[in-house]
Amino acid sequence: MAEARARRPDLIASPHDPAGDARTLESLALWAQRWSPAVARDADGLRLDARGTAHLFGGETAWLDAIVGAFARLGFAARAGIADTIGAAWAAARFGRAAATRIAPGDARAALADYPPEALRLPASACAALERLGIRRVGDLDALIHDAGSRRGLAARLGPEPYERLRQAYGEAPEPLDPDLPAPALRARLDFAEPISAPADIERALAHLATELCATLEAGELGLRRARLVCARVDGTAAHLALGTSLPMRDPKALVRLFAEHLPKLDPGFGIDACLLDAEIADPWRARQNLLALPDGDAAGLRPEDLAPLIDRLTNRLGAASVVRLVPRESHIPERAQIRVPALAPVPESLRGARTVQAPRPLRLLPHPEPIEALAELPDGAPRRFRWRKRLHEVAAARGPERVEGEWWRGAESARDYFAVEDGDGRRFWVYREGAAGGLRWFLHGLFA
Amino acid sequence: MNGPPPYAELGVTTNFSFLRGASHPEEFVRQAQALGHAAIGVADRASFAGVVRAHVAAKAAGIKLLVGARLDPADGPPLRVFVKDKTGYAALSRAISLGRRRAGHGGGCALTLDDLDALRGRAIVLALAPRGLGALHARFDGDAFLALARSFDGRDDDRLAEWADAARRAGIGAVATNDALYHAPERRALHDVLTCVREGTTIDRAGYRLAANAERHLKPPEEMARLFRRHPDALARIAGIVEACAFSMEELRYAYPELPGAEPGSSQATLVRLTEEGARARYPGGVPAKVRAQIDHELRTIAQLGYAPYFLTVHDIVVFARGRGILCQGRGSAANSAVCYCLGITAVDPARLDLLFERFVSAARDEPPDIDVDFEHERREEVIQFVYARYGRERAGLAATVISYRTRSALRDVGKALGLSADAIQSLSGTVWGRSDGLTDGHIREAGLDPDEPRLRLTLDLARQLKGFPRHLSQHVGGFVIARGRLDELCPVVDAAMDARTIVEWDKDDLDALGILKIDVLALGMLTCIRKAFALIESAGGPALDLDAVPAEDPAVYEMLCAADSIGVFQIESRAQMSMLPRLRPRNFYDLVIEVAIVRPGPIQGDMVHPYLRRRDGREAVVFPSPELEAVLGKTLGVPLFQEQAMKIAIVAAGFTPVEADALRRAMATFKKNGLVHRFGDKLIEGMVARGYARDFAERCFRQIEGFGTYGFPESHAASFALLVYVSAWLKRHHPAAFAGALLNSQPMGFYAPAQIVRDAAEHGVRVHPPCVNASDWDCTLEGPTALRLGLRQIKGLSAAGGRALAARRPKGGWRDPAEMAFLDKGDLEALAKADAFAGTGLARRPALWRTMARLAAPLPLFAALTPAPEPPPPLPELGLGEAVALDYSHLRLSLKAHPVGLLRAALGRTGVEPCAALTTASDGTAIKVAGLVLVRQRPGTASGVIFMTLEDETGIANLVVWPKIFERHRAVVLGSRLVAARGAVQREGKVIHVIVRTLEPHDALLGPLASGAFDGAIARADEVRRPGADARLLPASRDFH
Repeated sequence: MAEARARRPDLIASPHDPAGDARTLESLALWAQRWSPAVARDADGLRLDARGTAHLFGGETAWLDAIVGAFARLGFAARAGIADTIGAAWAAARFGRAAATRIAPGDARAALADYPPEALRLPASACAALERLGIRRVGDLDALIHDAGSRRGLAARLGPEPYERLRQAYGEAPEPLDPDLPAPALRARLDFAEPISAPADIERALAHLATELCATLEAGELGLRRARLVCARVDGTAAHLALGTSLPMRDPKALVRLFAEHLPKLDPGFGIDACLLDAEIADPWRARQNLLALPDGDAAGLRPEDLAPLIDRLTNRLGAASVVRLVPRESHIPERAQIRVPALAPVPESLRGARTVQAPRPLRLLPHPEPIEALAELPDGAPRRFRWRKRLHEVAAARGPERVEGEWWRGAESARDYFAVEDGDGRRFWVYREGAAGGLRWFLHGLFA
Repeated sequence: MNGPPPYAELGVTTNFSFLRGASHPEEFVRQAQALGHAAIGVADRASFAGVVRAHVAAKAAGIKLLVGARLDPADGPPLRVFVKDKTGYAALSRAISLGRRRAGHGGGCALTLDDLDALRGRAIVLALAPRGLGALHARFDGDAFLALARSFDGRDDDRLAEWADAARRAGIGAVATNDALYHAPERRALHDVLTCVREGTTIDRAGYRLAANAERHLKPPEEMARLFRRHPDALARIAGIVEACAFSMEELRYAYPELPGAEPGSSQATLVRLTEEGARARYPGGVPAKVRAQIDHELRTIAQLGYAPYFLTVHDIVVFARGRGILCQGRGSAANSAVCYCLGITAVDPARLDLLFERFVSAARDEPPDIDVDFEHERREEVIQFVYARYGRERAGLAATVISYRTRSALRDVGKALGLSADAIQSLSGTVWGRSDGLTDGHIREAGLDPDEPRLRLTLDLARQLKGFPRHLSQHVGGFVIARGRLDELCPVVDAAMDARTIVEWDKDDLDALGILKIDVLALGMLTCIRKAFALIESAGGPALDLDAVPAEDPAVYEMLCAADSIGVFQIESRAQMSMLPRLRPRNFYDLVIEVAIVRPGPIQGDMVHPYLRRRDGREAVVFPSPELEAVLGKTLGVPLFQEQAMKIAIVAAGFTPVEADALRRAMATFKKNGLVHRFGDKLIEGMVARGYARDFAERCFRQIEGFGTYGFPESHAASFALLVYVSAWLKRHHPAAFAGALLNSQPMGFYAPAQIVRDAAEHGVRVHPPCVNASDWDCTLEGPTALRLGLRQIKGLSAAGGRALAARRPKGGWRDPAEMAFLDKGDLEALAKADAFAGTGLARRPALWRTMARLAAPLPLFAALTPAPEPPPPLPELGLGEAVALDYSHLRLSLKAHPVGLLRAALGRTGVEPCAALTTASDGTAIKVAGLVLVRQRPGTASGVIFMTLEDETGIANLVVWPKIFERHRAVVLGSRLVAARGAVQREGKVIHVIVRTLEPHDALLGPLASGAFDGAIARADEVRRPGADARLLPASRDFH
């Protein structure tokens, strides 16, 4: 990177996002099903079965052009190849001269002859070894392998793969299309002959998917923790809805209920031609998430699983940001020492393992420190008396100071001297002084029980 | 008289408790003095690494230092131990050594209270926690205390009362401290950053690992009195402790050891005897009077200072090395000594040079002499182990080097702690690199960053504070400390990262400050090369040579050097040196001394080079600013070129005392103390002006003295190096094959890649043969006086063990087939095949590769006859010449078949490219286009951003000058291309020819598909793009590209 920057200071770099690429490829695979019912994903491309399909588009060449054109309209520079075999088509797509290359039936051997060995889907180490031996074309390899002795010799050096791949490309060895899309195991899918867009239709489809998915979950002794509904639109885009649950669940009706509240917000665009329901996170059914951490034998006798449906519904109805819990955050500044986290969200990675401060803290921290008038000895004495909300408190006992400096990396913040004080009535307060003589101010920040 | 009770901070943790303390020892000491503390107690974590600095600062500030350390015994509370006397000091030093060694490389100091028994009655022990106080009291009696400190966590009053109570119950006293981690509260932010670095986290995630407040600094006595007003006795006890700890570092009487087995007190007599013997051997025709006087003077001074054992030790080591056939030669100021010359330690003949013994040893200066001896780099370890064996590990150890934060490392660590992205840190450090003047917003924006971003500002500010902080201790390159008594009673001794080495915790400056002698056992690659060249010459039937047997002042050698024919020659093979040679035209040994010294940033920055050359050429009158300076500057034509001259100018022209001049030299050597140098600067310039010198001359003198700080050569040092320059040049002139072979056998060293060394040899009439399984040894060998056989070591990817085995097991008739080499692993066999080393068995490269790609089954001896003959390789496409050359470069880093550019001559010719050889006849100012492989890219710090590139084609080389504007336009070509065409104007200055570049074109595509990495091996070691900071010792200061 540094070297590249040195050469081109105007270089724009963004981090490689393999997961993002995979997601994009997956949605493209879904979308590409308009060209063929059987679509499989490669590491860096898609394979479409042309059988019985290409002629509908006016022949193979027209089919290829249509595909490349359609990708171009989506903003992708695609390359395509078609041939008798997967291997030859793979090579044509990547090493063909044109963006769309058709290898006529029976022409694979001739067509591939001038491609480099890389066109045979060989590992890089094998390609490098062939290069060193001076074998720079598939044709050279073909000639070498023609001789049985050399073929054995090559296998002893590079393994059976070159020969095998060559035969696959020529159609002398079988290779299945491999239709197993690397889809999540927990997925339900529904395709529509005619695109749908009415909310009622979508809900019906959802119900169907939920039933199917929950059955799968049940078979696997699993419960859903996070689900995603993907609606593939005819224009190649997709609408997503995701939701989470506090405890594993697999009740289709409940699942539909959770989604249903959001369906009206879903934009079907020009119509939806396929729906997917994924269980993105699934936990073992028996696992119990003690999310609320209610103590055993709590007065109300509530168990987490009793509260879970309520939290789920409240969260999914009011929005994740509205139902929260407090999580400790390591900061010496008292008001920053905890943070609100949506009840269903996991503790943010950055806060995992955060401890609570050891110094004494009041049970109740005021939302904002409230200014008080106080009388105290300089430089760091505790207040003798103070007035808060118009009432004067005589301090009977005090402990402190606890000196808390500002977090310098967030800007200039002044230091505070905190005191725990008790007034004549036995009420205990948490007060602090900020600033030095001259600009000195007192605040009340919390109440002890 | 109602002042506060006297206070001394007994809880000081400096930045030598790495990543814990946030102030330098000096800062603590100065602050304590400024605040009116009665004393200061420095106790770093199981270390004395910062003690000497604290001592020096305390001495200067006139404040008492309590020497101590913090220890964490496994069976007691953490302790701060301050020694009362010398015995206590020795015991604490031993305890630290023991604990550190016991803890091993994991760090820490594993001790128990029993290990501290020797400290009983000899040290004050402060417990830092109220545990095990009873046991502590039982062990240390009235010397045990409990340290109280406020932490401002809201519970101080309760805790102090509790702790004081615990102390009372245990029968020990409580003592007030403030447990300081930094000298002033402003260091809190830096301390937080250090915490993040230590914990490997960022400021946003460090949480409660950060301190809540900024209270752990030195506080005024009044404030301490107020804070401990409820514990007046804890304050009162401080005075007693300070008084009890009477030890001062001054008391460490370092005694230099006499030679093992020597009669006590006989050293001086032995030294005189050895010197006289040496003198007779050095001057068989009688010792010249001048040298005689010098020897007598030196021996007197040595006797007076008691340094004889030191000279004998060095002599002992040198004799050992010579006995083992290890070449060695003294360098540095020791070359000023006739005694060292007679003892064979140095090689500069005092009769030939006018040297200055006072620069080396002086009775007026209380400073130990410093003898540095270079040994062959490949065999120095033998010498090091000899010293350990001779004196024992109890008495000998290597000095430490304090590795400090530099601009870049400070930026990196601070940036990381503040959560900047790796990219942002990279851009930032790229921008600040080489800028001493600080960053403007423009610079930051140039790096693609937002100067208004507060974190960026914080990072820069904190990195500036962190710069210069010690980061860890490493071992000095070869400085040995040898003691008469136990070394670990002088200073803690710890194991070095490298096996079989032990180091003391003090660095060169610390040792100097305490007057402890050190012997530098240094490594020098050129000595290895020279020894190997001698051996090769002898192997080819030539004479047996050694350093002294090389004929002196051979005109043919100077002839060669005047023509800038110096590839491979020690010190003068760089581009800058090469362009100086034809201008300086060295004709005798002293010219070489000047040549070595002149191409240095010191003289260059001081603008001394051109005046000297003009005067040498007679184009400028040789005048002296004053008669007194004529004596100083006479031999350099009135232009100061050497460090000694700068010193003498300070003395004779600016009225410095020798001691002040020496202090100036020290200030120069430690460039971190920039402020100090400038204070001297004013004194020097004003002093010279006051004595009637022109201000601009005075300023020039000072600029040069400043330049010497980092990169100056003393004359004696230049003279020592010049000897090796001469010897290596003589070898190159008279034994080019042996010299080239020795250079190749000593790689990596020097400026040039093997390709250039081999090419240069071929141009000097050497026939060079490729590596061959049947003809090559591991090393390069001679096949006759002018025929060089490349060694198997040239083959990339071949293991040394494999290569040596191949040569050692070679059958009488030679190898016939790779199958016989089953003892080699597949990687070695393939490496041989790729490098075409089987050609000697009749196997061409590709068939050989085919053969070696499959694992060769080792034929069992019994069945050897039954093993089927290997299948013949199939018909593989034959290699074209171009491909073969590219493969040669890929796997041998050079090709003997052809020059790659020669093969492309026709194609390049079509674009108007002329051969580099055309430059030799091109007249000044003509336009030309040349092309070649990129050999070196450099951006000297002294050349204001100009980049020098060297291209090579089959006819020669072209030296390009790329101005910054052109560089910006062709950045990618300069930094990335291997084959470059340059269009520009010829600039001639005598024999020095440059092309001032107007445009650059990349032609890598012509090199074919292998080009991507194949020609990287052609790039010289000195290249700064591939190897930023390559061999900084030989390079002048340079700015990095990134």
